[in-house]
Amino acid sequence: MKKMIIGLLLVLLSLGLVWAQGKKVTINVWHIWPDASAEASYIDFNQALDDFKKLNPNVTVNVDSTTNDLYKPKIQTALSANEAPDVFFTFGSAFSKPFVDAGKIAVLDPYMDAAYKSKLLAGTTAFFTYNGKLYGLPLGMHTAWLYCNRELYQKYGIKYPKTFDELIDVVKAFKSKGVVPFAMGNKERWPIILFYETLAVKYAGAKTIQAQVQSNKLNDPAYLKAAKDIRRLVDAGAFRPDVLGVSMFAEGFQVFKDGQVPMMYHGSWMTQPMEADDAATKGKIDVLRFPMVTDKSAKGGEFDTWGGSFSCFSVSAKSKILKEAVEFAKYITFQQNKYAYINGTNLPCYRVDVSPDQVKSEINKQVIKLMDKSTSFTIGWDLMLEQKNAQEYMDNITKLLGGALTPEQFVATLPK
Amino acid sequence: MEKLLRNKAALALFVLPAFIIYCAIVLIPILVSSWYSLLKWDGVGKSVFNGLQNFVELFARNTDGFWTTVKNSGILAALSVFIQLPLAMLIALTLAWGVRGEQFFRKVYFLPVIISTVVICQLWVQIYNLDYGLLNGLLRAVGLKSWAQPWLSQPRTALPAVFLPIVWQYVGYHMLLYYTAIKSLPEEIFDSARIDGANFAQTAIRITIPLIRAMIRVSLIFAIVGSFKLFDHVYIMTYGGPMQATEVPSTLMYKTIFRKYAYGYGSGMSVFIILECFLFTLIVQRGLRSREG
Amino acid sequence: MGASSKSGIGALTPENKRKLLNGVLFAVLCLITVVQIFPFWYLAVFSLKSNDQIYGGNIIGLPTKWIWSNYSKALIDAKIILFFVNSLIVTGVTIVVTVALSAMVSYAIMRLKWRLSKIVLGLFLLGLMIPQHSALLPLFVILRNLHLLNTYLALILPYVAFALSIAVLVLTGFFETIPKELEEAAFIDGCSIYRVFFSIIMPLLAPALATVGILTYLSAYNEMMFAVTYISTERLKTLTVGILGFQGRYTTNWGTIGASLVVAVVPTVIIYLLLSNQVQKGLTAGALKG
Repeated sequence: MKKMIIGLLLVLLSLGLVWAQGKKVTINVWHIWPDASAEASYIDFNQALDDFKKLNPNVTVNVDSTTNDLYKPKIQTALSANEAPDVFFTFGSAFSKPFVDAGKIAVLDPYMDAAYKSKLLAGTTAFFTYNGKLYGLPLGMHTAWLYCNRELYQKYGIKYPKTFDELIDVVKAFKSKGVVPFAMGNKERWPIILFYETLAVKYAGAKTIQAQVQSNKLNDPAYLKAAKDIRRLVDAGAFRPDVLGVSMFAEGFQVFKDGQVPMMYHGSWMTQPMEADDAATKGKIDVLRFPMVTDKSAKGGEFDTWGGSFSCFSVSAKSKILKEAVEFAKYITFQQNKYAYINGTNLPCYRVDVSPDQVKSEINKQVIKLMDKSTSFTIGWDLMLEQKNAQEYMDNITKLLGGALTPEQFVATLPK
Repeated sequence: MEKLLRNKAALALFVLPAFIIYCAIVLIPILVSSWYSLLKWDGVGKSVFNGLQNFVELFARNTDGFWTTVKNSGILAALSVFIQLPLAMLIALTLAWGVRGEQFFRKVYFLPVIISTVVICQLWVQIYNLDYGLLNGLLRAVGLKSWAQPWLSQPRTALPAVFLPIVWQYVGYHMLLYYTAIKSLPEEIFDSARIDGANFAQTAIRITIPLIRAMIRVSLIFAIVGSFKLFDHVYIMTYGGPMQATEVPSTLMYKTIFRKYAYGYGSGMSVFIILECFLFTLIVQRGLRSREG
Repeated sequence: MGASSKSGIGALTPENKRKLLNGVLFAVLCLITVVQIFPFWYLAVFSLKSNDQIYGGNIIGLPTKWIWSNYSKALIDAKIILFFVNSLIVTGVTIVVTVALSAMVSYAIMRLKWRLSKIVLGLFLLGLMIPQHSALLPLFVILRNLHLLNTYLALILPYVAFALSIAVLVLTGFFETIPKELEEAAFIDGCSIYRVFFSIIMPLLAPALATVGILTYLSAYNEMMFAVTYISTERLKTLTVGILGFQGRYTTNWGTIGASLVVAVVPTVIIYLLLSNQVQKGLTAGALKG
């Protein structure tokens, strides 16, 4: 009899332990910011994560991060193998579409209570909405600006360019002084597309470009004009000689941060390191719009901006803790947007209760003013084009940059 | 005892584990790859039977510049055969001829062979660095400043630049093959050659090389087939760039499958590589054998 | 210097010609040695420098300040220790399994009597001609469907499979040097096949097994293509993939990269220095037979 009671107690005890264990939740998160050296979001995410952990001490969060170019195939493989983590960073538009169609990504609408929905700024979830359903929570408005090192400009007595032609002159002026004009690295194949796409939009207007790219049918004189402008930049000596082999996230950016190169035209995801304490550019950056082209028939204008809300946190449809994962994603995304705003990473996609004077970042203060006047936002075409076309686009624009394709040949490779 | 040696149970136990793993991983995938090469498939959704269309795309239409990659691997093979192998032969002949420190040199030359390719390639990427690398640094130091260039980032210097670490790494291996073969020849041959007054060059050309024909054959196969299926060095140092100047069939295959998600099309490339390796192994084996008479 | 000869002063006797030739050859060999070794010197040296020293133009000299923290950074921040452990585990298991399986198969082929033995041997040797590319995608699909991606098995299984060819080649060749008398005596004494295999054959195979072990070590430890495709989880990456990941992240951290490379290379160099003859023998064994 005694044995039976002890046995029963043991069973109850172990059941109790199991039940208590079950109360503990583990969430697996993947993102694309391995460290803060070139990725400002690293800091924002971790601040948001700290907040979450304080509110949810019994939740374990496992974070795995991989650098930009290696992250993309990694998440795609994981999704196709049904091994994606509960919450993961991803890009909207055509990047996630195959997985949405295959049912690998969770629909978020059932979890979007009215209060949360009202905090989202209009239009920021456009690229994560497929067939009218929401599949991702926006991480921020990433836009591209021409970051100029005021000190270097002054040192060589050069004035900021107001038109594209003036930009070419500025490039030549710096080059003649032995200074590489632009901080660039195209090893990842896509950094050059910011230049190209900005120019194309200025020629053809955002509406036309967006419609054509999203339907994978690119037909407009703008594409050739923009290609020729890229060659003008290259021929004027805008980029370092080894630009094809240099990574934007390493040496490409480093030389700007070290104050050796006067200009950088890149997305706002890299701004925070520019203002870090160890940056030679701290406090010396003026943010400009990419100069307008001189073309009477141009349909775009000075205020068309490259960028948008194209990155998000999504939840795996196969997650075993779907509800908890979604709640986590909702909380983290909102907090991260807030910190991104304060720290200067990007502008938020939510109505965050942050007053402009709380914004620490000098750069972001300028960006806020510039964005006020922006008339359109066009995200990277590598995300809007079908995967296969996107890969070829990046290969071919690299060849245009390197001179293996003439502008005419390059335009011929665009999907029609 | 005969019966013992026919024990079926023991046979199964001893053979099956290894054989099953081997078949499943080495043999069957060749068939599977061949099957995939007849499909159009993105790896996630459904696959569509495509017949030989993939091969038409590859060879006839030369989409993605497949022929360029074949040409690049051919160039590497040629560089290997005409630069690396003669160099290895020279060193082997020299060491076998008898110099001071023979053992030491042999050990040292062979060292790079066993070092991980990743380490070697990363090291050479640093060596080639435009601003702070060893090569450009040395060039500038001896006054050849204009020769300092971004070796790996320029289409016209990239492929030779990739070749250099390969030679550096493997010349010791081929050298060792030849050396071993030479050393296994009977001493009397060399003694009588010496007595007859043959010098280094004559001994090498008339006697040594012809006698180690078999080993040369092996070395040729390694060099040629190795160049055709080369992956690691290109992937690490240039990833096929700049602008596909160093693209070889395996890197193109890799990107096609794992970046473009064209599983069927990429498998077509894989089938080509396999057949190419088989073919050249047979050619070299038959080719040199017939000359032996 | 030379003895006089009909051609006059400055002519060389065969003896002196030989000495001169030897001298020249020796010098050339030394030069080649420098070329082979210098990159290692360069690596060791920049692994201990700070970025300032490198940017400052001190390319091949010794570091002015020895930055040992590069090594701690490499081991910990850059996670070299983690990758190293993963490589050890994968390589270790691969070696053990390969040695065991290849010994068993080779024994069966060379000593057991069955009709298919020659065919099976031929099939195993066929693998020497097959590039790993063929298996890359099919294996990927299988591993993905079995949820074995991002596990140690995803690498161990292919490594073992591809190592079997050369292992079987070496071992079956070695069997020819083992006289059958010992086994025959054991059978007469009443030993079972298993007894004979474990107690007699395996000890005799020891040298060849060592060769197989070394060859397997070299191919598994340095392997990259499968490693980079099948494992993307940071905490399971082997050294080859881990080091590869530095591109784009630590490219501006020369010291850390250098230190990581040095650490990655150390075990191989040690094994080589201790066992260089074995290593060289092993790598040529296959070629001699082939």
